[in-house]
Amino acid sequence: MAAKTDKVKVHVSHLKKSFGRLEVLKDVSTDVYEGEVVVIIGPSGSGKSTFLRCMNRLEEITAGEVVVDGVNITDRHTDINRVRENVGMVFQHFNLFANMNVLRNLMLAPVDLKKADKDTARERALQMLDRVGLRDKAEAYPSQLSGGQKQRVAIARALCMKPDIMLFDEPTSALDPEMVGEVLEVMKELAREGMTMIIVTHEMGFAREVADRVLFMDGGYIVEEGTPAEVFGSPKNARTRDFLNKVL
Amino acid sequence: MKKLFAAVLALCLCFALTGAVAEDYVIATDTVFKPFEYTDASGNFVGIDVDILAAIAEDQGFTYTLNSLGWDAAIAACQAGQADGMIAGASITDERKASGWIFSDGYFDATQCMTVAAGSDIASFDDLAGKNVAVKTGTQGASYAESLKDQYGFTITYFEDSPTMYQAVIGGQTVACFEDTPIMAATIKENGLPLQIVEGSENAGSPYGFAIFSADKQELVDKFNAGLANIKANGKYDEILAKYLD
Amino acid sequence: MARILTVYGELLLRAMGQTLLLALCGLFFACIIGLIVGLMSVIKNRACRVVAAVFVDVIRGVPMIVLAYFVFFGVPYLFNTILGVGGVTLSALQAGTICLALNCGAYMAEIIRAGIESVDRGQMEAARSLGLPYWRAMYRVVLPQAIRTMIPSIINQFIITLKDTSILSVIGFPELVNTAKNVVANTFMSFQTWAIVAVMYLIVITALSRVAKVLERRMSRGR
Repeated sequence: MAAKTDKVKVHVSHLKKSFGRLEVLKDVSTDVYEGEVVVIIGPSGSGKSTFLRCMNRLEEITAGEVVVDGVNITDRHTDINRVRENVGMVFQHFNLFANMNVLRNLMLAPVDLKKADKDTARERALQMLDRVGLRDKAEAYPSQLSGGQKQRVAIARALCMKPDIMLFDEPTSALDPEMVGEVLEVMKELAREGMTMIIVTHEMGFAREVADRVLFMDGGYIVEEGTPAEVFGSPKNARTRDFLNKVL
Repeated sequence: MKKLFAAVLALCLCFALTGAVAEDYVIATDTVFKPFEYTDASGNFVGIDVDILAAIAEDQGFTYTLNSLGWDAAIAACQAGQADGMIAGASITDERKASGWIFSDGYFDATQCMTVAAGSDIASFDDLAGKNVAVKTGTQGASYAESLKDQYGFTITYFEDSPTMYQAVIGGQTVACFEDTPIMAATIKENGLPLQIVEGSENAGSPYGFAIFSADKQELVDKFNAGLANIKANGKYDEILAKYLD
Repeated sequence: MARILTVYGELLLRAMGQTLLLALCGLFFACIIGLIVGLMSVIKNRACRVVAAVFVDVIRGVPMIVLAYFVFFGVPYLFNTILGVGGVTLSALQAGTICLALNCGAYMAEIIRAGIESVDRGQMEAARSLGLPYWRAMYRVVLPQAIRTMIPSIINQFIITLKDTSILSVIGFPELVNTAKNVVANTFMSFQTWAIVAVMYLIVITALSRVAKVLERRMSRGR
């Protein structure tokens, strides 16, 4: 793994998030460093997806502070769109734009946000497609792709914005088993290149192999964190042990 | 609740069927054409047409059911045989006769006039150039306006009922309307409308007639004509006109 | 029948033109109203959503004939008599356009709202996560997909609106029904006239439906 630096990319302190009366995140604090790969695991309903979605404010933050690349995104005056340009996100259900072909999916944001002119954006899009091994699908529509291909396109789309940080929200959960590998392979490659990544996943093998740090969440808290060896090898918390026993 | 609903439904059906079960003549008329037919304050359907028909029927000894269908539906009902005849302040015109309609003798001679908003600067037809006037579809007022529009260069908007037409003049959407003189005078007086009849705007007038569509009903027209002559002779006719026009 | 066609044919054709003119004017503004109100009813702002909901409820709750009288007479009355501005009059075309735009606009708003809501939330989220502002995401990603599902309903609404122009006969707009009543009054030939009118509507609406079908097919080919 590429060595992480000691520069903090995401700083989260005392984050709380409620949906109406339901408090999903009760008190979450952590720091993610540049080049670090953080994998968040935990039972469903533990708040791990919500936590991830707070980091680019797809969910409004109820209380606490989230600072991304030195910008406090909890501040109402922050232009969240500028922050999001540097924070890529990959969704469980891919969310490719159904009305556009693959190339236009990749070019939309860079061109629309004037990050690049059309030709540059196209060139970068094709490069990114190369990278995920789907250059030949540039003209295809999302409905013509397999799940694994869709997710690789989604990753390429995020990369077209040249993000500093990538968020992955259960990127392989909606895939047929035989397609999980191709997506994880792309993610491993990214990790090797030193991308700062925060990943919510159920792929424990992947977490063990790629993560610098594993966070175990339950009931709206980070219950345990440490290196994969620590968390998977000798979990200290009873709930972590219980969870790992069930999934491994 | 269910019983109530059933009762209401039954009642509606009864009302709906009464028209069909009567064996006497079915006469169609308009809903509102004051003072020829309208519903008065106590909810009775009254008017010159209504009273004249009643007087003639009494004189000739026939019975009838009067259906207040509205102008358009009355015409259609006669054509379809749903009604035997219609009395709705309908002017006797050659064009209508050419379509196969048969009219009785005229039972009312109406003149038409132009009416403008109170205080309007329209004083004669000459002032109408480039302006828009209101008429009611199918009336002699409409025919009168049509006969003048090319000569004086105005346009016509057709309304389906008199109140809307008056309102269009009061509200300023049109500068004048054309209507039967006695009706106009009575309506202005009765309702205190801010309208005034333009002096010297009256035409020669044309008679209203009772109309049938099918020649099979000729006997009804004959009875109407005979009865009309009788009530004119015995003073009943003048009594009715006096009742509505003063 | 032949006599009606020879004497009044041109008049009826011109009236059909007026019907189409009124429908087009009404639909144009209805689309604008529908888009604005439809968007108002899907955005986060609660005040906007309430305003949109009240607008739709009020317009849907009032028959168009009542709306027509209200606009034609009520609006000038409001300005001239109550507000004392004076000199405000609405032509039948203006009043008719307002009525159709309001009425059809309310239904269009509902169609647009439903269309937008039928697009998966993930589409908006994905666009936002790339840094696109809300309205850019709406315009580039959500609306194009929503429009595809909305097209059949919109065409349906267009046809309903075209037929609804006949209601504006009551405020004296010289559209087809208003003119036909005139022809009936002059000739006393009810069925013949209405038969001609029915065929005229039928031809125009069938032609429009065909055009719409082609349009619909072309739109759905784009995916």
